[in-house]
Amino acid sequence: LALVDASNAVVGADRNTQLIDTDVHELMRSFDDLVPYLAPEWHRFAFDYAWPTRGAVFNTAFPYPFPILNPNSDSAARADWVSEGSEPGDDLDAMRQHLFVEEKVSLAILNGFYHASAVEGCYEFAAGLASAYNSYQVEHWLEKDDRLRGSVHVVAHLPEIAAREIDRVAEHPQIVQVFLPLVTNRSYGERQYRPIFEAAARNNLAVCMHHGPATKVGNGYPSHWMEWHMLAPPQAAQLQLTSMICNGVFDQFPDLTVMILETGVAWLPWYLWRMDEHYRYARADIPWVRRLPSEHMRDNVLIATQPLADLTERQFMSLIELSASERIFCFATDYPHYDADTADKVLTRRMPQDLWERIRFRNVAEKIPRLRGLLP
Amino acid sequence: VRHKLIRADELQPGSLQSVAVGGQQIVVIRTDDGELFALRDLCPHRGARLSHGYVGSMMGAATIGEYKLESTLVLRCPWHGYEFDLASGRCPADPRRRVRSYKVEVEEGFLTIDD
Repeated sequence: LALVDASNAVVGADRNTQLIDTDVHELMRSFDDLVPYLAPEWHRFAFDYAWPTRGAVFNTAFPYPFPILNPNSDSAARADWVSEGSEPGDDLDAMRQHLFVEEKVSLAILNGFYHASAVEGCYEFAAGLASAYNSYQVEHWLEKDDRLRGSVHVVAHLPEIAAREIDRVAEHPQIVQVFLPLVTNRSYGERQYRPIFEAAARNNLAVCMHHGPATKVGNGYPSHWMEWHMLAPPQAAQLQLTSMICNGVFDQFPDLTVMILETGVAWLPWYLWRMDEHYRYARADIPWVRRLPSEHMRDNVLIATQPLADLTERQFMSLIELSASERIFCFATDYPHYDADTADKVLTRRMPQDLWERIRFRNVAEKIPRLRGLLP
Repeated sequence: VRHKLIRADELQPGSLQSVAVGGQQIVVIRTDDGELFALRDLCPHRGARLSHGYVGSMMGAATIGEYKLESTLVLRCPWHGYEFDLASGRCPADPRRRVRSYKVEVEEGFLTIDD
């Protein structure tokens, strides 16, 4: 299929109203949602076998009780995004109201909760589930609203199968990226994973990474949810970016973009400085890398601003100036979670117009090939 | 200004020597193949004497994941291992960082540089 650029049809090139939300979690209502899309060869595992996580909308074990702000929901959702009779994120009409009306988002990129690459075993079945999820996502979400963009979910342990799935799902024009969870038991820069990035690149897709149940810290799961949530996402992002840069992923695919979600922002200056410092004296370790790591970060990486936490706008702008990272940050709500950011609160008009535009939409539109049509 | 460094026969192939020239130190190098190079003997990173480092082939790559030694020679700083191309004085990892390099001539049995 020829790639249809649907982006211009959705959002005008109005620089004052474009707002791309890079981190939106749609949710299945139940495993039943997947069944119509599950290939028959997987029914034996799904229905005839005992399968402890049957029915789960996550597919790996997560040990922590975690904060919720509404006693009527088991989701860590913002309380005013919880409505009766549904779980936050599983209702398209509610999502439309919350994001497109109230938050004035113009385009939302879905990445779900279904972390197929987080499994540790039965990889072929997991790939079948991921494929079913992709078809479900296209039919139940993307096809119903042209302001939504989607992700291809794959099982990274089987890179060739993952690449075929990317080729299959990428035919849908609203698919803009491949999703990989921020796992900490493997490094995506290693060569066996290269077919995934090759498939992303040949289909003009970015790669998106977000933490989940398979994201851990150096000694595994720490004692408490707070320790885990504070440390694991940025550490995993640093692990994967370092692996991809040092193993030459961006030298091989100079136009590939990796987007990192929900790791905060303030680690970036430290990371850029430390990476460049190491490269200057240990370049011979990775001689196939031809540029300073910070140059790859500026050209090939997006980092979502959420959670901007309690940084003031002035502090955030100083941080950007310190690290020359104007082209790296992009906006995300993390809908429907309670620690969501609101654009009006984190990106006020006090910010210089160019930077305000860059974070709201321009950096994403420049770096995610299928969203280039959004550039004014 | 032309500066006389040392007698040409004082510098054996595969060796280097630091020479004081008008208040500055210059490291003069004769490679195993007899080629002559000179650099300012001061690392632009933290000020180490580069003459305490060593000369070697620059590590390159045939392709991603495959190491291949290149013919380019680099002087490695003794403190942090920054490399400097003997000919250009540039650090291959970050070419904006460079140490001043000089062309070495042999004149009447002496190594000379122009500054």
